[in-house]
Order: sequence, then C-alpha cells, then structure tokens
Amino acid sequence: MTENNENLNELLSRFLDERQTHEAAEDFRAGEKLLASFPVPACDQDVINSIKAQIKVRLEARKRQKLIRSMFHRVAACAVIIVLAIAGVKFFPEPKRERVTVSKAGSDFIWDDEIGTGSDEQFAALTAKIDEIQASMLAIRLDENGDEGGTILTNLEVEISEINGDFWKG
Amino acid sequence: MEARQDLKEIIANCQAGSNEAFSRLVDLYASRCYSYFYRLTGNATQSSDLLSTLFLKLVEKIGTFRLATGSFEKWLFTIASNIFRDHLRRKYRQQKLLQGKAEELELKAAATRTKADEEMIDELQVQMAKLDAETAELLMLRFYGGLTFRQIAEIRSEPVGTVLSKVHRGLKRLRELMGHHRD
Repeated sequence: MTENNENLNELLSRFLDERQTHEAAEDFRAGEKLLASFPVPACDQDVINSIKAQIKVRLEARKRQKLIRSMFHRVAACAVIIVLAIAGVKFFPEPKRERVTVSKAGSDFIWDDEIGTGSDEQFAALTAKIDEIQASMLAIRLDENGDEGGTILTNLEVEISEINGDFWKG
Repeated sequence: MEARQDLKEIIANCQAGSNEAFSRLVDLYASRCYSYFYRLTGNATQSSDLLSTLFLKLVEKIGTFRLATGSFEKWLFTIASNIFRDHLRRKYRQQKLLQGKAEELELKAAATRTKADEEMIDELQVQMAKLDAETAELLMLRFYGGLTFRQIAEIRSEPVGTVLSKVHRGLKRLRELMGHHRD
C-alpha cells in the first residue's frame, strides 16, 4: 500500500524452494486483492474534526504548561541567587582593614640610640642659636641695620646652613 | 521522494508544536488508521474512539520520534497496535467482570447498536472475526499499515520467517472462509 514494496519473492525464497515461493507469492497477492475489494467505510468527518479540535486543545495546554514551567524556573533561579547573596553577606562578612601605625618603640630607639641623653644640652644650645639667628634675620628684614642688611643676611644664612650640617653630623 | 520530504517537514513542524501540521498528519493517516481499527474491532464507534486515542497519543509522543532514521509508518502503527492490545485487554477484563450478566448485556448491546454499525458490517468483517486476534492484526498491519514483513517482525519481536508464515496462513484461511461463505 505504501512502504511494503520489499521484494516478496526474494524474501520468500530465503525460506521456501522455487515452486513454494511462487505459490506463496500468488497467495499473498490474491489475499491482498481480496482485502482491497472490501473497502472500509470512510471515517465520519465529524470524528476527524473532533480529533483535530482535541489536538488543538492539547497543544494549547502544552504551550501553557511550558510557559508556566519556564517562569517557575526563572523565579526559582532568582530565589536561589537571592538566598546565596543573603547567605554570603551573613556568613562571609567583609574582612576588617588593619591600620598601619608607627611603632612607638621604633621612634624611641632612634632618639635613644643616635643622640642619647647626654646631648640634650647641646641640642638646647643649638636651638637657642637658631632662634637668635632667626631674630637677627627678622631685624634685617625689618631694615633695622641700614644698608648693610643684604650682606649680613647672606652671612646669617651661611651660618644657619653650617649649624644644620653640624647638627646632623652629630 | 517528494512526498517523503513533505512528510518529514510535517513531522518536524509537529515536533515544534504546530497545530496546522498535526491537522495535515490527521488528514494523511486518519483513513488508514481508522480502517486498521475498524477491521480489528468491527465496530465504527470503537474504531473512532481508538483513532482519537491514537492521535492524542501522537501529540504526546511525537517528540520521541527520530526524524532522521525512523520510519514514521512503522512508528505510528506500533502505537496503534499497542492501543488495540490495550483495548482488547480492557474488553477481556470487562467480559470477565460481567460474565454473570451476559444475557442481560447481550440484550442491551443489541438495543444500543446503531443502524450505522449494522450497515457497516460487511462480509469480510464477519469472516475476519473468525480469525484469531493475532493473525487478524498481522494482516491489518501488513495491509492497512503498509508495513514490510521486516518491520512487522520488529514490532512483534518475532523472526521474519514466522511473520511471513502467519500472514500467509491467515490470508489463505480468509480466502477459504470467504469462498465457503459464498458457497
């Protein structure tokens, strides 16, 4: 009728001899001819229409189900992300930043070791001398020493730089 | 060849969920499937119900059909065959359950049988009923299903030689019955 176009004789010959193959093939043809001579009454068109309508309903229901399922999956995925985010904030808080502080002991070491307690008097004398020079410079700036102010100022600056150099050399 | 290509396209669209494609599939196969059920049940109403069950099952299962390699007819009539067997089992259970009320049912069945059913029962149908259910189904798979003997053998999980022999015997018996009836 549609697909059964296989070679019947060849198939039969695998099981029967030549004469039997021929007879069996004839029987098949006669039998199928008999069936074809009694056509089945056609299916009622209402039945066909009803089937098509039922299929339409099923397909629409399936589309709805698919949509609901995909929405459910999206909502579930969002929920999981939110839960993970909350859990992350709750169980893994931001690490505290360490403050960088200068060790007091370190600074003590510098002062104690380099200068020592014995040099306090020397330090005080130097500070006094610097103050004196600064006062002189201020006087010159205020023009208290007349025209020679420029030369005096240069001398004073040279003196300050020498004192500073001596101080840092120890 | 072109028809095959068309069928492939229709099936692919069915798999994509197209209502129009399913309508075309119904138009293509309803007649053959109805004939298959009709010759096996001998009843128009039951055949319509089985046909409806078949196509609704098809909507459910079309996604499982392998378009590239499978034969659609074989796949379709495998489902049809399973539906018919389920129907036979149900019928058998009902008969067993209602054995005590056989006479009463016989009367009821006679009363509810429609005029259309009466008219549709032809000579061939009467003689077909005399064949055993298995042989009748093999004949219908071959004739209305249009399946090859190899395909029928695959569906029934039997050797091709056995199927050939059963169909041959069935057709011969049917011819005898028809000849006997005519005499």
